[in-house]
Amino acid sequence: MTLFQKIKSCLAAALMMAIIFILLFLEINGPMVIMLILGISLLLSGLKDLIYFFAMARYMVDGRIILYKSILYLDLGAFTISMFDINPIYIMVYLLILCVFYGFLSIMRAREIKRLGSSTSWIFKLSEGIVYIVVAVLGLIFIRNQNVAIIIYCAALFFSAVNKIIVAFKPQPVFLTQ
Amino acid sequence: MQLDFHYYATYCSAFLAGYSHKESMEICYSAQLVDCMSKTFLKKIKASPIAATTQLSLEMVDSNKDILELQNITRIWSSFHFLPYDLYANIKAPKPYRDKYRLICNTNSDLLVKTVNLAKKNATLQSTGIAMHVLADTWAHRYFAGVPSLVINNTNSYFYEVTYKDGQEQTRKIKFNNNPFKTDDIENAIYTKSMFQTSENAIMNLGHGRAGHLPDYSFMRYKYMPAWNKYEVIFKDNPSDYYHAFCQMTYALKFLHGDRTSFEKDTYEFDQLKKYENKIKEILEKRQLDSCNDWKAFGESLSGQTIEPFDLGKYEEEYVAATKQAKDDTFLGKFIEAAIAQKSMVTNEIADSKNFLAGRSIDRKKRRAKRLSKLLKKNKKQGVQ
Repeated sequence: MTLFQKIKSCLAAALMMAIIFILLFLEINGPMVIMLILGISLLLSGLKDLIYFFAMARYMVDGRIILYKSILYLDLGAFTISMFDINPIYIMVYLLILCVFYGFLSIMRAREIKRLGSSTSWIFKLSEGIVYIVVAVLGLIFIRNQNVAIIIYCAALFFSAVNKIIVAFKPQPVFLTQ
Repeated sequence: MQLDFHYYATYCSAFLAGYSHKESMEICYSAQLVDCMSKTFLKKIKASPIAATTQLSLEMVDSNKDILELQNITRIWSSFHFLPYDLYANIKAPKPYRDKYRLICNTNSDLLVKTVNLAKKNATLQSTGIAMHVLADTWAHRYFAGVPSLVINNTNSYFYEVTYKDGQEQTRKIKFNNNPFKTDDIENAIYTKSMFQTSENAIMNLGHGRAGHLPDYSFMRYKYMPAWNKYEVIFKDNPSDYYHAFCQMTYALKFLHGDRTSFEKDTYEFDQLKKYENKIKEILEKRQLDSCNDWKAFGESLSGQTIEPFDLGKYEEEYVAATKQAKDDTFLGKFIEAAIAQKSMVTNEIADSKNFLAGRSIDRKKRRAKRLSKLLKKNKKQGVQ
């Protein structure tokens, strides 16, 4: 991980902590703030990938993957923002589905890392995946009690932020050729 | 290429080109030093980091991935390991893509001629060694670029090893893993390569990282699909390429030794090396990860002298102990001068093509002279007043 990536990872962790603060201590509609931040960041990522596709990636083999990625991000971003003023319960359902999705991805990634046998970092990934899925299940159980659901969601965010900080400062082997 | 070719094979080539054992040792040491002269090493001997000819993995990981660092990476890898083939390649694409495409390395480029001529001008064994490293790498690293780039250096799953049995071509799928601690498994065709990252400027997308060490093994023949080649498969015949590299190196060394009047592109010392062809090809074709022993034995049979193993610290003490004025006359001092000259030449050639991926190199001597002349003018004016 480069210094720049480490800083990015730490900034992401700081942003997560800020969201936790907003959700728990400020008297505003927490889920709506989350949806807005998530939606804008997805839109920006999609836009960045779209520019990259037209400037460079369309000339490369399998470059369409970048286009599909950008469309997916833009679509997801627009969809997220469009849900800004709906019932908070639906927003919570949406966030919990995202939790399951990330949990599933983390478990798949852990399996891949373990199969390659490169390090013990698969344990991190696996625990991350399990926590996300447990949070999603607990969130669904307490979905009628919005306050409990938000606390559970904040716990998942906190776990993710701490993980990001640990990964940023953990020495990682890198393969390069000369 | 690895130590086996840059050190031992370069020794053999230099000796066959007419250099003495001692001179050949200095040439092959300099050729191999290109793979070791990192910023960390330069800091250790208290030399300028601008002379770096390579980067350690951790140096790159630790560096900031901003525009200046990307230029630094491109300067180092394009100047010494992936010499660009055509800086003015006519390709219909937006500038960001075109600039990276033009840095793809290949053999027999105009820059190669300039590299060899620069070594001739510098007239030191160190610059000769550096030029031989650059020349040899143009063969091993052809079709890859010395700049981090997904759109150029990426590869997909299409990778097949080509072997010949009783004259019949056989292919088998090459499998890859991303574990840097695993040794490549020749028997089962399992190799290590860098991880796939969708970020254009990720370090994983530098050079031939996405093809693993395949370009560095002289025995390897393989087919693959590079990201830049519009879905067309490339067949790389390393034994043939490495033999061409050896014969071109001998030809270039004869020119640098003064036995030839000019260095022409696409010219090889095939005739003189005819009697060694079978032996050289036997070493190149042998399926092994490291052919140092075979090249060493061949070199020693040629000169009758012992080729000592490469030792990075060999000239360190001489450089560190030298006074500031005498440093330029030491082995490492001459190497540093030659490395800066090579880096400066390639960087400015790239910049002259209106491609600023490597930045621009400032001629320190010219700048010093300019400053001095300004100072003299100023003093003169003040004197008049």
